[in-house]
Amino acid sequence: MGGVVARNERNLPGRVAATVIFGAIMLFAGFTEAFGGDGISYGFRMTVVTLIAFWAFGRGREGDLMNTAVWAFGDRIGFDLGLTAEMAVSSLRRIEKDVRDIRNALKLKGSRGPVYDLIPLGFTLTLMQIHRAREQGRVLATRGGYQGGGTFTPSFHCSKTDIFAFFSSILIIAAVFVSFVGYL
Amino acid sequence: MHLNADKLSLSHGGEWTLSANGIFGGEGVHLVTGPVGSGKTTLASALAGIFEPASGRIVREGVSRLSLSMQFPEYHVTGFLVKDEIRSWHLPVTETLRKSGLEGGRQDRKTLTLSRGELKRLHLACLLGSPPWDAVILDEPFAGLDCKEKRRVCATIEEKRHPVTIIFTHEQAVLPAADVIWEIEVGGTLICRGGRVPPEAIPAWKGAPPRYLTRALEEGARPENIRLQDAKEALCRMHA
Repeated sequence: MGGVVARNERNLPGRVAATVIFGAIMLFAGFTEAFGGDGISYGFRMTVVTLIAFWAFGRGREGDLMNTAVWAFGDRIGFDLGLTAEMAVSSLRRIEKDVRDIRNALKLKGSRGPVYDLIPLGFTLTLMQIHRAREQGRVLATRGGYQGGGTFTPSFHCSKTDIFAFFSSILIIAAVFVSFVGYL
Repeated sequence: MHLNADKLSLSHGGEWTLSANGIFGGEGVHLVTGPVGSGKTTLASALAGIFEPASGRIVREGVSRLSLSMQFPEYHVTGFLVKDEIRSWHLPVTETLRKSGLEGGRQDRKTLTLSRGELKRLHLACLLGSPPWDAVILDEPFAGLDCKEKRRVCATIEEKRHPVTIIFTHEQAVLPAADVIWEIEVGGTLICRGGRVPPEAIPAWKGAPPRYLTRALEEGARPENIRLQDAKEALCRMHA
């Protein structure tokens, strides 16, 4: 699984982010195991889910979510869901650059350390996202007259690896289902 | 005191490459122009030491205090209120507000609720009003400002409180007097159009001379520098 995810460098976050995320998972798993829970299983499952999430985020193409949502739920609810998801993902991708730029700006201004920087960084990011969301909303309303739903023709490109990914995802879903039934 | 771009090569995700070789040296104002997307921001970031070049290096001689003004002023904000933001630069609140043209009780406004233009004015007033930097790099300092504010920023730059000022811009209307003109040519090479002798550099400035300069040159005038008033004076001299 790790090999598949790591095949493309874009699939993985930076070293620091990966250390923090996987470190937190291992920490919780360790505590759970130490206090009588099934920490090893938790750690394994969370690692797999996180790697899949990185892969999905890194390999996703613009329009994937819109295509899927409209295909699955139609022009009304599907369009709204797809549009919301696309906007959320594009915001996430912009946040990567925003965080880098804000950290650089704070460094140039005289950073007081990563902990102190977290407050202005989080505050600026949040407000910037709110401003952008408001602007995007206005653009949708004024340029497209958007009120809800829309016309969109989904299109998909299929490659050989997609068939492998399809069967792998069914295996994962089945494994999750079996473990859930076992838990009950 | 100088910043030397030594056989610098900058690449952005393999999409394009910018080559730069030259010295932003001596005291004065360096103006770097180039088309949108030519790599001005990347070069500014590399000179400030926050972007890793693909090859080559930046040599800083006598430059220990350096700052970069990013294109988007909100990145620099650390103060919740306007007065906190000014204090974070260790500057007096009232005087800085006056310099940025933001008087009228705006010291108690939340910094990030200011408009982009107001925030830019505040940020530039703080940066340029700080104790002298050895080198200050301004990335698109005129973006989002009206003509009056652009002139105010130009006047501050022309005071030359900071020994080396490097301006990256594609501004076409209001520019400060420059000592050296640089240009990023199509194809991605930084070229020096002439230093210390702007009258000779101006005709060689191909890509982005403002319209008033082009008109003055077409009429046979030789402006002393790149400001509108320089073009006007050159035309007056010619017709006198």
